[in-house]
Order: sequence, then structure tokens, then C-alpha cells
Amino acid sequence: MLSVRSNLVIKEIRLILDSLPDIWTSWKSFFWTYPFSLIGVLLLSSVEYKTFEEFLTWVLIATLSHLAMAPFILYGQARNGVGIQIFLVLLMGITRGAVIAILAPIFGVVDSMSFLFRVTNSAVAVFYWFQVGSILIHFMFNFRKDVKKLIEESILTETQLRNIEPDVSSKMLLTRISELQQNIVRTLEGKPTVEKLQLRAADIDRLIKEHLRPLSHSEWREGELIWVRAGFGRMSLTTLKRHPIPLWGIVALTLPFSLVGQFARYGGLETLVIQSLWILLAVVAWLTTNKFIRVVDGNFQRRNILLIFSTIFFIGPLTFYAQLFWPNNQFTLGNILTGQVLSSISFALFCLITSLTFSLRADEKSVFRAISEQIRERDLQRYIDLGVKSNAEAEYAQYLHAEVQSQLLACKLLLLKAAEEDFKLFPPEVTQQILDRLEKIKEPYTRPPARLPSQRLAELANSWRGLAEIEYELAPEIDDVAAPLDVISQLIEESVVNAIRHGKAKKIEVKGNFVNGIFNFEISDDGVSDLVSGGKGLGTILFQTFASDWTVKRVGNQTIATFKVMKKVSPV
Amino acid sequence: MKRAFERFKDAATGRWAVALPIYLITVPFGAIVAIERESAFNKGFPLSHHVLITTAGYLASFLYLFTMQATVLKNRRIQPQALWKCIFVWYSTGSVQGLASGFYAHQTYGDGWHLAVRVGMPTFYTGSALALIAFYFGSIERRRIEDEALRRLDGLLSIERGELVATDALVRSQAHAALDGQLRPQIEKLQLLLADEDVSDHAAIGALVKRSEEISSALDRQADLILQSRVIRGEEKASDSKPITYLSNIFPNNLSVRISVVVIAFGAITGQLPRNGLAGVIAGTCGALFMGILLLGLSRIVKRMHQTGRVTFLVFSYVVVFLGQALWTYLIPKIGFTLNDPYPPFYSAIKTLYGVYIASIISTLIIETSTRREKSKELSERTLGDLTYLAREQEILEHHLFTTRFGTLQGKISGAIMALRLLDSAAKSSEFAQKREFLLSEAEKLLNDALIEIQELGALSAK
Repeated sequence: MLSVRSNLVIKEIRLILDSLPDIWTSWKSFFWTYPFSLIGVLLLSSVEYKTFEEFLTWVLIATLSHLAMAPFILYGQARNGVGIQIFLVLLMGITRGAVIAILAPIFGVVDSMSFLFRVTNSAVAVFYWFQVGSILIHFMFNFRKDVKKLIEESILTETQLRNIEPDVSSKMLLTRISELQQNIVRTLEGKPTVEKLQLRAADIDRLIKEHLRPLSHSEWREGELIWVRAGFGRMSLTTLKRHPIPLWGIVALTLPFSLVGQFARYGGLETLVIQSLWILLAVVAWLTTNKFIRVVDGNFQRRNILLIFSTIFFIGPLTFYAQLFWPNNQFTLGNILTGQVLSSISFALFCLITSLTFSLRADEKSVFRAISEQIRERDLQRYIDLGVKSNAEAEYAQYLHAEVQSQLLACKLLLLKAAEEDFKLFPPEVTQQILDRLEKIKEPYTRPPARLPSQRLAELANSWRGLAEIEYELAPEIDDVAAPLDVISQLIEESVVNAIRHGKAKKIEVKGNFVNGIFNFEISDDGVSDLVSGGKGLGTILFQTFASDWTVKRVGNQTIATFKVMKKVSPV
Repeated sequence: MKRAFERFKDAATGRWAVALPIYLITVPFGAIVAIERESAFNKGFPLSHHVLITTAGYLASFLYLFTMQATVLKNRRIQPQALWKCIFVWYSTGSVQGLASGFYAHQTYGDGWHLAVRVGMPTFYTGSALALIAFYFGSIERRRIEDEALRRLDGLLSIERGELVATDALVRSQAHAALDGQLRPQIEKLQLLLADEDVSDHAAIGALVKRSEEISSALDRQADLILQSRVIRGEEKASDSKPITYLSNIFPNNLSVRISVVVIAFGAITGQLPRNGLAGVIAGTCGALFMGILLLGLSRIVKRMHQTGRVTFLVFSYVVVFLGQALWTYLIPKIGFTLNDPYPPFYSAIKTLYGVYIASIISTLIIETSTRREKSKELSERTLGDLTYLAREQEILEHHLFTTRFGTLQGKISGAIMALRLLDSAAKSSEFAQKREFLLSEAEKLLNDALIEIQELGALSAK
């Protein structure tokens, strides 16, 4: 029995932790939590406001203390990972509490809480606010992005999720996807042009934009998904209908924070007694509701609502009386009442939000399953393949493979050179930039078949045909095996691709000769390229590392890039 | 000295010039010393006032440091920053902390400014702590990045090696097929023709037979060499691919001596100077040396221990460190140092314990990242060696293939065959009979050349 119960607690904790997003610190959470922050300070700071001025002073202190968390948001929004986010949110809460404590004496008002309690209370409160806020924001704003990622992944990795029954609730979505599929099939039957393929790609975007946007689009109000029934009340009721409240998971996860908060305020013994009483009563309430309220057709609504009501109207009052009649109680009736009301509301909200999270996540999964099912095996892959094949010269092909491979090769050459020099060539920051670039490229590396610059240029001219015309004239010594072939080829490719991508060049001419042990190159184009020498990207690092002298300048209507490579530049 | 300075500059002025989360490890000690300082200024204030004054200073300095790293040092992730900028940010953060504390104490509680101590000591402590953190964690980060770069490089090179191994196998089979399909039939044909000749007839024929046999065995050797390839290891992963994080060493595996001495001495100066003046600093520095000797002994034992007993001994070592520092603090007045306001022994021991713990974390991180970097370097060098070998081998094999298929080898053996056929004709026609000697010597010469060429191919492959 005990092991079953502990398994249930662990399962519920795991479910809650799985539902936590990677980013908690966002500006949206910051602004949305401001009212709570303000109300929290106003309710708990002063026993009674003697003047309106004092009230306004506390409003100012609350606002400033909330603002003190802004640097953490700036710092944290780019740092993924639950661990670092929890750490930052706790620091935010501590800072907010400390700011309230130090501002109060400056403004001549008295905080009713001690410094330690203020800081602890703030840390706990901010932790909960941002946790809840991040969960809601994740489902409201990030869902669309996730769906797009799923579709992209299904295209690129040929994800096959078979034999999954699409959820009935995803009916409307399925209709849209079917329409889109028919459209794609029609396009593929004929000879698709680039424009047609682009239109179909836009269809995918539109599908996501118009039909997978929770809590925002009016069309969704008529749909079946939970979040489309906008309005918090109705959404909450629906949520409570579909999933049991993970009471034990919530209790286990909130217990450490409740203990910390209460220890600071009431002391150890009182906290232990009150918390134990609370948990005991919760067990009674949970067993009673489970025993007497039956779940019919998977509807948990009555059971869940009764559990929340019993928490507020049964457990709350009992623990309130226990606190009120505690010997040597230093708190007033108002104090205890406020604390009880706030903790009951917080708990009920937490139950609701956690259930909502489970529900949304389950529904999100059903939508994902539905999409995966509807994207028939390799349909979209075939669509992309045909597009690529029929437009081999198109930017698409270049982007999807050649350019990515070129970047991988550039990274390899730079890392090899750095390793040869035992990393004394450039600072770790530059090495990190190269690693970051490698991290972003998901495509596997393949060794370029052509090492000779003339062969690489021929391949390059071929892959960009239709978009840019590439002519070249290289001295025979440049293809000499004693030359740093990979480096030369890479630098030429970098210059050409830069001219096309950034300068929108249509005509490019590459000239190269070999004089006195130095390879000289000139790449002229009719584009309007930015002068890359001022940049800080991979291309710049590549030129700084391998080219002994390089310039980019405008001459009339042309952009001319020149660079030199010493014969002994690198054995790579 | 110059090298040490360069090392410091390289490590401390980059990404880790300011690392906010890591900076937090210096806060507990700094805050405690600051509260001690505040208590000394106004003994009548309750502890909460001292805490609030210290907190005000720290909050202001955090905000200042955050603003500075986002503005003055914003490019530190991309390139190293000027050293003077970093020094300015490190030390001015401490000054801001002191100024804010002074302002708060004066404004809120009507206390005096005490700027010399309130600003001087945090400037020294925070500035030096930030510089040390930048250096140590910059060094760790540098090794971590280099290790990651070597691993990535090895990954890319391994892909190339995989492709080259596949090509190598293909080229070897082609070369072998060319040898078997094109050269060996020629030799067999030659030996067939020689079998019809009467060896006793002429010594030159005997020499030709000998040459043909030599060529045949040279071909066998060559075929063996083609099939023999240096064993190229398969995909070899670094032994431990789990990333080294700062939290992964929360229980350090080593006991640091050098960094601990630096940290303890630094703490002694910070804590003792405003409290006991120069005498306190000297006593503290001697204490750091005493602890250094103690730590040296302990760390030598730790290094010799196996993992199982090591953890227990490390725990024991921390107890010894705690007791050692407590003993030293207790003995200070007894060995001749007269301090106005000495620290309580166990309080001082707790601070030292914290310093040794942090120093040991840093030391363990440095050791682990260095070891791993060396392993990755070795691995990528081996892969690069394989690549060089494979690329050279392929060039040789391609040359081999070319010589076998289109080179002079076939021509030379064909020439010898032709000469033998002419010998047959010579027996029937007087026209060729006069040239018999010439034909035989030419055939032998051709076979000699062919043999040398085959042996050269073999020598190339065997290199």
C-alpha cells in the first residue's frame, strides 16, 4: 500500500517536472506577475496603512522591487535548462525581497516582516509565480513553434508514427491537413515550378499560423480543443473534467518551500505541527473523495472540485483554528487569516494550473499525433525531393546541402589549424564561435569529393546556375598538389557565396595566379555586398586565419574581393 | 613572470572576465566579512541593520556589475577585452559596494560614512576575487573549449577517415584485380613460351626463365602487400563523453594546496586588515602557510588513495583542515602575535573550510579538464595520423593502378613476349637468326626493368 502510494507520488512529481518549460524567465512572465507582486507587497507589508501617502510609498517599493528582477530576466532568457532557471528565479525572489527590506527604511516606512522572512517569502512567491507563468506562456505562445518544428522534423528525418488513432478533438485540424495534402499531391502530379512549390510551402506556414494558434483565433472558439474554449472559467472546468488533480505531486513539490516560508514566520515546532496536520487532513479529504465520488466516463470534474472545496473550506479552517489557538502566538487574527486565505487560494490555483498543464500537454500530444498521422509517409519528403530535383540550380538545393557542407568544411579547417597551433592561434572565444556554428548545423559532414580549386569552382558554378553566373580563370599551379588546396577552395567558395547571398550578385568572376610562392585571387561581382572585412562571423575568422592579405572594396558598379594565400599556409 | 602575466591576461579577459553565477561563490565570505566590518563600526546597532547595510552594498554592486558586463564588457564572448577595462570593472564593483553601504548606513541609520574602510576593503576584496575567478574559471573554460574543439574535430576527421577507409578498400581491390587480371596473364604467357625453349641451348634463355620466375614471385609479394593494409581502428570515442560541469564537481575529488593557500591568504588579508591591522595580516598569512603545509601532506595521501577510500579520507581531511585552522587561531596569541580583536577559533575554521572547499572544486575542475583535453588531443592526433596514412596510401595505390594498367610495365613484359615469339620465328627464318642474341638480351633487359619496377611498387607500398 505504502509502495503504491510512493509510486503515485513519484509518478505525479515526474509528470509535473516533465511539464516544466526550459525557460522560466521571460518578459511576459515578468509583466504578468507584476500585479501579484504588487498585491503581495501591499497585503503583507504593513499591518495597517495610516495615510494614503504610506500606501503610495508601498506601491513604489513594490514596483521598484519588481523592477529589481529585470536584470535576471535579461540574463536568463537566453539560458535554457530547468536547473539554471530555477536558480535564477530563486535569486530573483531573494533580490526582490532584499530590495523591499532595504527600501522600506529609506522611505521611512516599517515592514511588518523581518529581513529573513521577507527574503524567504519573496523567494518562494516568485518561484511559484514564474513557474506557473512559464507553463502558461509555454502553451499559449510556444505551441505553434513546436508544431512547426514537428513538421520540419517529419520532413527531414522521415518520422513515421503509424497506427495512432487521431484524437476526435482534432477533427478540424485534420480536415485542414487533408486539404493541404491534396493540394501538395495535385502540385506534384504536374511539373512543379519553384513558384508552385513555394506556394505549397506557404500553405504549411498558413496552416500553422491560422489553425494552430491557441487562445487567440476566433475560429478556435468553435473547435474542440481545450484551449480554444477561451475564457479561464470554462477552460478550468474542462480541465478538471479530464484529469485527476495530481495532489501528491503538488504536495511533495511545494512542501519544501512551504516549510521554508513557515519556518521563517512561525518557527520550527509550529510549522511542523501545522504542516503535518494539513497533510493528514489532505489524506483524509483525498481518500474520502476517492471513495465516495465515482468517476463516470473518465469525468473527474466532481471529484476534483470536491477536493479543492474541501481544501479551502475544511482543511483551511481547521489549520486556521490550530494556528489561532497555538500557545504564545504572536500573530493577530488578521495576520493568520490573510496567510490562510492566500495559501488556500495559492493551493487551489496550483491544483488548477497543474491539471491544466497536464491537460494541455495531453492535448498537444494528440494534435502532434494527428499531424504525424496525416502527413503520410514520405509525402512531404517526396515533395521536397522533387522540388530539389526539378530545380537543382535553385537556392534551395544550395542552401540545404552545399552551403551547409561548406560551413562544416570551414569549421573543420579552422579547428584543424587551431589544433595544429595548440590553440594559440586565436582566443577561446573564437574557438567557441566555431563550436557554436557546428552545434547549429544538424546535417552530417561529408568529405568534399573535389579538392582541386578548379573542380570546386566547377561544382560551385553548377550549383548556383540559374541564380548566378560564375566564371573562372585559374593558373595551373593553383591545382598543384603541393598547394593548400582545401584552404584555397574554401576561401574562394566563401567569397563567391558571400557575393551571391549578401550582395545579390548575378555575375561573378574568379581570377587566380601564382607569383613568387604566393597565390593571388580576385573575385569581382556585380552585387552590392557589404564589406565583409568588418564582420565577425565564420567567414571573417576563416580569412583572418588563412589569407595573408584580404580586402573587399567597391570599384564602380563592382565589388572586388582580393586575398593572398602563402604556399606554406597550412598542411591541412 | 611575463609568461605568467600573459597566461593571466589570456584567461581572464575573455568570456569569463565577468561570470555572474560564479561570482556568487565569493559572496558568502565577502558578506560575512562585510557584516563583521559593519559590526565594528557601530556596535550598538542590531544585527539586522548590519545585514541591511551589507545587502544594500551588494545589491548595488550586483546591479553595477550587471550593467558593466552588458555594456563595457559586452563583447567578451566574442573577443578578449582590454585588460584595463576588466581591472576597472572588477575593482570599481567593490568600490560601488562600499559606497552604497556607506550611503545606506548614513542615510537610513545616521551612521558615519567610514569611506576609507567601507570602500577600501570591498574594492580590494571584490576586485581581487573577481580577477581570481576570471583567471581560474577562464583557464578551466579554455581547456573545456579546447577539449570540445578537439572532440568535434575528431568527429569530423573520423567521418573523413571512414570515407577514406571505404575508398581505400575499393582502390586496393582494383589494384589487386589489375595485377591478377592484366599482369599475371602476361607473365604466365611468358613462362609458357619459355617452357618451349631449350634452356641448355643458351645461357640467355636460362636467365630469362630465372627473371620470369623472379617477376612471378615479385607479383605474388606485391599482391600480398596490396591486400595488407595497416589496421585502421574503427570509430573510437573518447573514454568519457559526459560533459564536465561546475556542478559535477560539487564534491571535489582532490585537495587543492596552491589555490587553497592563495584563497586563505587572501581571506586573511581581507578579514584581518581592518580588524587587527598589519599584525593580523602577518598572523593570517603565517596561518595560510601553516595550512598549506598541512594540506600538502593531506593531498599527497589523497593522491595515492584509490577511489573507494579516497572519499572517506577527503571527508577526514576537511575535518583535519577545520581543526588545524581552529588550532592555529587559538595558538596565535600564544606564539607571540598580539591582536586587538582576534577571531573565535571555530568561526575562523569555518571560513577556512569554505575557502579550501572552493579551492578544491577549482583545482579538481582544472585537473579534470586538462586530463580530458590531453586525451582528446591524443585521439584527434591519431585520427589525423590515420588520415595522412590513408591519403598517402591512396596516392600510391592510384599510381600503382595507373602503372599496372597503362604504364610501361605491361609494355615491357609484352616486349619480352614479342622477343620470344621472334626467337621462334628465328628458328625458321635466317633473317631473325642473326638477331637471336640481340633479341635475347633485349628480352632480358625488358624483364629486368619490369622486375625493378614491380619491386619499386612494392617498396612504395611497404613504406
